[in-house]
Parts: sequence; C-alpha cells; structure tokens
Amino acid sequence: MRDKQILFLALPAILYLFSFTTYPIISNIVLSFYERTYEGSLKWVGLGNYLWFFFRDPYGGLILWNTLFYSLATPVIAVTLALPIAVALRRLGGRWLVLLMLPAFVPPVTAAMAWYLMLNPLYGLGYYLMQSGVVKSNPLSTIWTVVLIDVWRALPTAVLIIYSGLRALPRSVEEAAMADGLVGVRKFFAIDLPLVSPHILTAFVLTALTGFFTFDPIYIGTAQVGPRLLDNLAYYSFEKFASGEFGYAATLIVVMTAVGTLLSLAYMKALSAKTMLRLPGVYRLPNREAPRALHAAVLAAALAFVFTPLIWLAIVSVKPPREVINVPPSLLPSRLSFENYEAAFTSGLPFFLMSLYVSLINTAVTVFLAAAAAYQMRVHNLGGWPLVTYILYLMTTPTLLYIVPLYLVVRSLGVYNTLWALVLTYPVMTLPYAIWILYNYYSGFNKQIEEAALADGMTRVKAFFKVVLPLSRSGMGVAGLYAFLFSWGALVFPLAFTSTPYNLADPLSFSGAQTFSIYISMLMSPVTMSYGEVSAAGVVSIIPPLIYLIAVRNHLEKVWGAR
Amino acid sequence: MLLLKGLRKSFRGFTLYVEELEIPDNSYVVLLGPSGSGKTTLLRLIAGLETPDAGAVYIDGRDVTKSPVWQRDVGIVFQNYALYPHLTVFDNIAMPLKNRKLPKEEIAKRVRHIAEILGIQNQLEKYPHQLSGGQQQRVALARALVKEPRVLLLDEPLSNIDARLRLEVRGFLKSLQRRLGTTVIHVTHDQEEAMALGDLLVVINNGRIEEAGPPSQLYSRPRSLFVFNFLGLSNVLPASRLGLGGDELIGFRPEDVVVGEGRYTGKVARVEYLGPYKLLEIVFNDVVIKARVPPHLAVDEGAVVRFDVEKDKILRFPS
Repeated sequence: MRDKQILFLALPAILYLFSFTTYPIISNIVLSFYERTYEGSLKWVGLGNYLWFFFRDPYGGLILWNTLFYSLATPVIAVTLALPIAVALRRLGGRWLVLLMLPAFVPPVTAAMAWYLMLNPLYGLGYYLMQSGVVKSNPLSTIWTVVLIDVWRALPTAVLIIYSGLRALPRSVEEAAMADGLVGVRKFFAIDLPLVSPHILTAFVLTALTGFFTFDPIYIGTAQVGPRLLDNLAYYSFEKFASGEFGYAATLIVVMTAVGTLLSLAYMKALSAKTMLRLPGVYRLPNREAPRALHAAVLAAALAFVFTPLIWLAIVSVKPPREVINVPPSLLPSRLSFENYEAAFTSGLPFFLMSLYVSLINTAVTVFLAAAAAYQMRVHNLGGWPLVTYILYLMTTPTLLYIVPLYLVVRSLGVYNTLWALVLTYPVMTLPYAIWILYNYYSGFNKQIEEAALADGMTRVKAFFKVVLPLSRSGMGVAGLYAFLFSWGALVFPLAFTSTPYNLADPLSFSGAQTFSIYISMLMSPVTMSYGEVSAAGVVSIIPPLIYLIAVRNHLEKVWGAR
Repeated sequence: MLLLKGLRKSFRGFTLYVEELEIPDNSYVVLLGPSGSGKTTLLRLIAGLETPDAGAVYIDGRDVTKSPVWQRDVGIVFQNYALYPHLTVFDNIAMPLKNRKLPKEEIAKRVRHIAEILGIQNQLEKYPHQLSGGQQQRVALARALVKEPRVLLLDEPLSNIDARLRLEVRGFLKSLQRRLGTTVIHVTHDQEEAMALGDLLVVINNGRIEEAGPPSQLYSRPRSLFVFNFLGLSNVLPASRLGLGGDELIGFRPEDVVVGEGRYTGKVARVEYLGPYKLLEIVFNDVVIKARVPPHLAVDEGAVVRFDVEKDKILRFPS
C-alpha cells in the first residue's frame, strides 16, 4: 500500500540524500575528464588524469602502496585484537564493554592528536620509547602510527560486532557441545569460532573501510612530519582539492569511489553471510577452559591500550604551560595548572560555539528526517531493498567523496564559510547512519499501533507525529547520539567549506564557520608548539559527546546488547 | 538404574525439590507437568546442565552429582535440536566420538550404524539447514545415541513436530526405545502424549513430584487430586451433593457416568458432539457433571435425563 502520505513523510530525507550524493558522484566522473587551468577554467583532457595518476605521478606508487597498507593492516590487527577481547568479555561480563567503547566517542581529530602527542619523541612518551630502544626511529614519521590510531578507533566496533555474535550463539548448541564432551579451548575452536565467523568477516570488512578511507590521522600526522610521507588516496585527493586541482581531485575520488563501492558490497555480503568457517585439527587442542587470569590479562591490556593516550592527554592538559615542552618530559605535572584550559577557552570559543551550533541543529534535523524515512521504509517497505542497499552504501563510504561538487554548490549558493554551508551539507554525513539505526529499530515496532491510530480517525501524517514519534524516543536517542558524534567530530566538510573562525563581532551573521576540530588541528602544529593548549582543547572536545552518551546510555545497552 | 535423592534447586523464588525418585533400567519415563512446574529443570539436573543446591544424582550406584555433563553417560536431545549448523550430518553425529579420539573407521562404522537405525543413512553428507524438522530431530537423536548412553534425555521432543506427524514420531520413539533398550526420560506437558508413551509417569507440579506410577494407575486410581484433574476430563464435587458422604471430595471420570437410568435426575445444559462420543453437561443439585455417552444417543439440550455413577470408580479425596 503506497499512499501519498507515506511518500510525503519519507520524501524529504530521500530527496535530500539522492540529490546530495548522486549528483556529486556523477559530477565527480565528469570533472575527472577535465583539468583546471591557471585561469580557473576547465579544459577537457579525456583520460589524461587517470593516465597521469597511474603512470606518471611521482607519488602515485607511494600513495597506492600506503592506501593498500592502511586497508589491510588496520582490519588484520583490529580483528586479531578484537577476537580475544570479545572472548574475555564474554567470560568476565559485558559491563566492561562500555569502557572499551570509549574510543568510538572520541572525535577522530582528538584521537589522532592524542596519539601524536603521546608518541612525540621529545615531549611525549615517545621520548622514553626511544631512550629505552623499543623504537629506533621517530615514531611519528612511520605509517604504522596511522595504523595504530585507526586500530584504536576501529577496535570498539570490531569488539562489539564479535562480542554480540558470541552472545547470540544459541545456548542449546553450547549445551549440546558440552554433552558431546567439548570444553573450553577446544569447544571455542570447534563450535564458537565457526559460528561467529560471519561476524568476524563483517568486522573485518568494516574496519577495512575505516583503513581505506582514513584521513584524520594523516591530516594531523602530516603537519608533524611533513608532506607525502603518510598520504593515502583520501588525503592526497583532499590536498589536490585544497590546491584547486578539482579535476585531478575528482579523478582520485572516482578511483576511491570504485574501490569503496566494492568494499561496501563486500560488507553487505558479509552482513548476510551464512557460510561458516571450519578449522582442521581442533581435536588436538586442549579440552579445558583457559585460565580466568588469562582473560583478565587480555582485558586489562585492552583497557590499557584504550586509556593510555587519553590519560596522557589529560596529564599534559593540566601541566603548567612551560613544563609541557620540557625534555625529558615529566610523567606527572609538578603542580595542577589550568592555564592551558584558559588559553584554549579564550582562543577556542568561536570554534567551540560554531561546532555546538551545527552539531545541535544537524542532530535535530537528522533524527527527525531519518525517523520519518526509516519508519516508512521498514513498516511500509517503501523503496524496498534497493533503497536499503543505497543507504547501507552511503553509510559505509565517507563524505570525502562529495567534497568537490558540494564545494562548487556551496560556492554558487553564496553560503561558503557560513554556518549554513555546514547545516546544508552535514546531513550527507549523518542521515544514512541514522536511517540505518532507526530502520533496524523499527523492525521491532508494532505496526498495529499506527493502524489503531488510523482507525481512530487520524491521518497517516498525524498518526506519525502523535503516535509513532513519541514511541520512538529510544531509537531516536541512539540515532541522535551518532548524528551528534559525527557532526561534532567532522573534519573534512568544515575544512572544505569554511576558511575563517566564527566572527563573534557579528554573531548573527553566522559567518566564519571553522569548527572545533579545525581549531585542534591548527593548534597541533610543531611550529606553534602549543601542545598544552591543544591537549586542553582535546579534553574539552571529548566532553559534549560524553554528556550525550551518558544521557542515552540506557537506550544504548539495548542497541549494543550489553548487560 | 537412575536414582535422585534429596535433590533441591532454587532460582528466582522457585524451588524444585525431589525427595526420592528411582528410575528402573530399560524403561520409558515421562516427566509430565504444566509449564513452569520444574520438569525441564529436573531434566537438566539429571543431564548435569544445572548443578543442584543440595542432594545427589546416582547412575548405576555411582554418584555423578559433581560430574559435568560429558562424564555422565547421558545423551540429550534438545527441544530445538541444537545441531551444529557448520557441520554435515555425519560430522554432527560423529562429534561425541571424535572428541573421544576413537579411530576413524570405528567412528564411521558407528555413525553409519546409528544412522541406519534412524533411517537417515542417505542424509549424511547434507547440512542441517537442508533437512526437514523431522529429519533434524533424527540427527539429534542419532547424535545423542551414538555414544550408547545409559540414559537418553528428551526435552519436549514432539513440540516442534508438525501435528500430522506427531503420532508417527511418537510411535517411532517408543519402538526405538524398545529396540535399543535404553532408559529414556521424556519431558512433556501433553498428558495424552505422556500416557501413550510412558512405562512410568512422573507428574510434577509446582516444583514437587505429585505422584509417580504407571499411566493406567495414575489415570484411574490417583492419590493426588491434581493428578486426577491433570490427566483428563474429570468431575470433582463434595460427596454430599450426590448423597455419598460428607464434606470430602469425590472424583470420577465422565466415562464413569451412566446416562439413561439410575438414581439421579438432572437437566442437560449442554451437548458437545466430539466424533467418537458425545460429552454432556448435566446440572444436578447445583453442580455440573460431565458425562460421556455414545455418539448416537439422542439427547437434546434442556432434556431431563436419569443418570448414575459407577460406584467402584469413585475416588475420594480429603477436602
């Protein structure tokens, strides 16, 4: 049944998404056949850009290698770490999961900044790493650091996916295994691991996507160690965009879109995978439970990995400013000092306000549009599987793909460098994810509630607002959390669409729209050496998402499946 | 022989307590009770999937209370079969043997043997999701039986079977037990299924064993009023209503009521035609009495009939 009111409710989100994503995708392809001349006009070059990238560009090989390295190293390491952690969680209780999830709520720029701060060979723990001979060369200038940061960011997702897979194992199958005499380690490899292998695959593909599109650690890292060392396709294409080479940037983005599409399809395939892995030789494994202490050690190591950079960040932020750049660095501040926070608040205020405005507006807009669309998609099957697939596709590919055409749109609308540029474009980033969360949320929703409202004489639109929306609060709360998180931590869009800080002399103009993420990345420069200020700003940047997280924590547990 | 002694298990305000229950070898035992009565808990205690708070379980005189499930010599068939989805039927059945590191040929021989008995020898290369529900159950049975356990535990084995097939599977289970000579403990809430299968019926209510005995005894001469009510249609009323005594309760089955002649006269309030027989509700002395009559007996609602109760079938329960 497709009445007009169903369409009416779902249309805003769907129309927006189609126009703000398909137009850029097509536009990228067209642009990739052109070159921007010095005068600023576009010149047809056919396949020239592609040929240049693959055969002539002196950095082409390096960039392809780095991209491949990031896309493989990140998932391999993240999943390898996530599996024992998930097993330890199952043994020791899911309450530890919340702590492990923390990196997912730290803005990506802050995460990258905290790691580079900690690994700094002069002012951070990197000093001691080099002194003790654990690392031989500057830890900042290696691509492994980018992988390390991506693993840190991706680990919570991987753990969550595998842990929920383990929890979903049918109890009776586990009991049948017991009756057949399978215990502990052998049971895990003979039964549990094969049964969660589809979840492991899902986690692998999802973290591979993180690695393939990684941007923020390279953006921060490049400022530390210089250009062209850490670059991948994503970062290189942004550099080309920033230097005005739209045609070449679009070319790189088209290449990324193609690979990203393949990965995204692999992800969807993994989501519905039924084939299970079988391991040979499991009957030679010990048939007993691994010691509890081993699980505790795994969990402790995971928590240490998650918290060390954050603790270092907090320590640096309360050091007196002069002490921050002492060599060797002190492990604890000589006295508690809040001067870094004062400095960060003074110079960071316009950025902070702008981030807060756009995050709040975008969260409200996103959640509302997403709920209206997701409900019709799930309950009334609007759009069928093609629409669901498209949403999943958008969810798994980054917004970097759209910056060139959207920049041109923002320019032509005359909203460049204003709050409105961000408000207009941010839903591209947040809507697909919110729709996906709510789409799943509504699968458990009682359709008859809406039908009862219709029977009571409401129109569909009225029933949606009066009955469905008020009953969707927990789903909207979780969707809103992610929308807020992405808006608050966004880096690529504000970098592309803004150029100056919020002009507080004329606050109602809402012009000048650089965000707090940009503020942090600007401070994180080896030239200004404002490491104390940036760590204070980093701590501040974690607070708003945490407040939101605490506010909706009870709903989250339902979504995460944790106790 | 399986012996339970002083077995106690409490959780969430519910307590299961079995003072003593002895299950003889080679018998088909049915644990029967309403849902939430503790029958599945009792099965899980026997299996070793739960540990009792107190008491002991003995198999052939050996105290297995502390033994984990795989050391108890029991086979379990779960309600939803719990087959390993990533293994073929052969590997599912072979799992308990492989785990004991038996030689390959020995495993293959025993798997084929049990598969033949269960009539699934042609399904061995398939995966569980390629089988029908009935076939899956046979695989689960084969997996439980291949290790030749002393006791086979069946948790509601007929509840996931299509209604049309239920009778057939019921007969199959009983003949399988007779053929293999294993002790079977079968949990169900269906009294008809219980009576059809059980050599020994153990009726459980509210965490206690109400009564145990052969089905015929429990049906016609139960000591417990609960068992009398639970095992079939029943009439229960104060003895004084029929002039047969004082305040104590008397009980009798509808088929023990003779309609057409007798000492009492009542009015037929309702007639249900049920195929092989008719069920009447006769109002007499302010109580409703259910009576079973041949289907061809012509009797209308509102008619006044004479009836009587077979004296020797009447049970007396203290009020």
